[in-house]
Amino acid sequence: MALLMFALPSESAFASVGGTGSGGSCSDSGSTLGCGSGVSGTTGTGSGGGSGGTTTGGGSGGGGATTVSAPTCPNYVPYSSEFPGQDGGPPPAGATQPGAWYFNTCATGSAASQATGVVWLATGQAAPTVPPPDPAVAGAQAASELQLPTPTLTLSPSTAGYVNLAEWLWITSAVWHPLSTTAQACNAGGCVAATATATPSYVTWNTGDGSVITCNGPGTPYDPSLPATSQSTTCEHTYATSSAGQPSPDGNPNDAAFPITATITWTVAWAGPNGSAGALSSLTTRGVTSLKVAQIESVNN
Amino acid sequence: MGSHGQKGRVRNWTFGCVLGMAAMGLAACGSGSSSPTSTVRSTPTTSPAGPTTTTAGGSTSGNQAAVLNAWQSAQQTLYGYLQAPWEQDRANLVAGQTAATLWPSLANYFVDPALKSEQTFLVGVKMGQLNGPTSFDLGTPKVVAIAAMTATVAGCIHDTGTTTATGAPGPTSLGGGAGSYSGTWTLGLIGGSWKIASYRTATVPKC
Repeated sequence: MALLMFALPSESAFASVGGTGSGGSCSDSGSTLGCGSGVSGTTGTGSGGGSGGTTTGGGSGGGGATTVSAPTCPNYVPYSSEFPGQDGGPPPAGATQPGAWYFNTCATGSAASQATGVVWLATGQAAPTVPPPDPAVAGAQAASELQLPTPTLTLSPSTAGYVNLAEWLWITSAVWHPLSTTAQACNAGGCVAATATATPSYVTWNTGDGSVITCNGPGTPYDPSLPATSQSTTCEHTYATSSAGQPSPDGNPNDAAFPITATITWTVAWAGPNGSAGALSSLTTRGVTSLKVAQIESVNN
Repeated sequence: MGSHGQKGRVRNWTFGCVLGMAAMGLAACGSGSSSPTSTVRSTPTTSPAGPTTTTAGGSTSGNQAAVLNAWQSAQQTLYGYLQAPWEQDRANLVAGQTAATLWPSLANYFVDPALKSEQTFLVGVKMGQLNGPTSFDLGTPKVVAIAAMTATVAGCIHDTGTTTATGAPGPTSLGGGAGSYSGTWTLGLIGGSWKIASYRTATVPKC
């Protein structure tokens, strides 16, 4: 496979001022593309690129074997070896000893997982070892990128409810499944990816009359083609009063309706490399609707 | 400078091209059947564009438009980062921040090795205390090859080059001096989005 021609030495090229330089890494050519090529064995593997936070229901990217060994992070090389003729400019504030800038060029084995950056090393100072980020950081980042759906509320009876008649409540079951997003966190020590997964836990219905109904699922759709006696639900509410006097969606007092909200509570957890995992704060998404509720009037002959 | 800062790195062409063929399974590098063109001209921007998402299996013209849109967004994002004042970026680099953190939107439009190349170039510009190009013209890119998962864009970019604090052109290796750069970019459909995976550019007298 042609990619193998770009294989890099497996040794990390830790450098120190006064040392011999890059230790044979890709950095000695001033060729970032050449260097990138060493990493690029992952480009064609189907990896999703790590960052970007694609929310999926079934996962994306195929991963795949990395065919090229790459320097581990950090991999500091003299700045001028990456940028010929350049020294990186003045030292950082507070530097009291002579030294030089070093360029961190490394990869941790997956696409877009560079920890590209710089460090100032005083003469004779060994390059620092930097632990990669805590995967919990990547997990939290992934959770922040989750794009959770808002529920669509459905009621039955749908156009108008009636006092003392059970109202079936449900949301679209299509949203009732886990959703995952992967993100990565990087520092000079490398990058760590973690996947956050949100799982719908329960739905809280505020029915507008002061009642709060909690349903451990999306609810059961009412099927008008089936006999009522053959159907049942555990997610319902029976209004004791009409909606007269409630806000009217269209301003017409005759259309006064109870404002109804359904809130999905999602439990969120993250999973990272080497079995690392943890729980995160739950998330919620909410949908709204309204329902006109009328009294059923008896007719006296 | 266009893809980017590579005018001083012409020798890297072969790497990018060979890689593109090997990794992306292209039959050719920078060649292929012609296709409808799309004109993209951009004014300088400092706000990286949002991700462009598409799906496989769409119409050919739709996919070509998505590819060109992704290419344009990638260039605008890169130039946006280049045009941001170097002082803060350099301070953040000196403080230990990484390219992935400083310029996160690059990963929306580039994957390795192109991603790393652009990150490295940005580090060089910022650490070199250079100002980004004041203007750029993305020209009229064309999709010259497209398959389900890969596409090749040919184009020519002109920009005013990086400059030092005194207004002098920056080092050639860091995109100094106005110039035009013709090249081809290989994109892959990754996670539903077209992203630049590799490229090769060459300095030309005029686009």
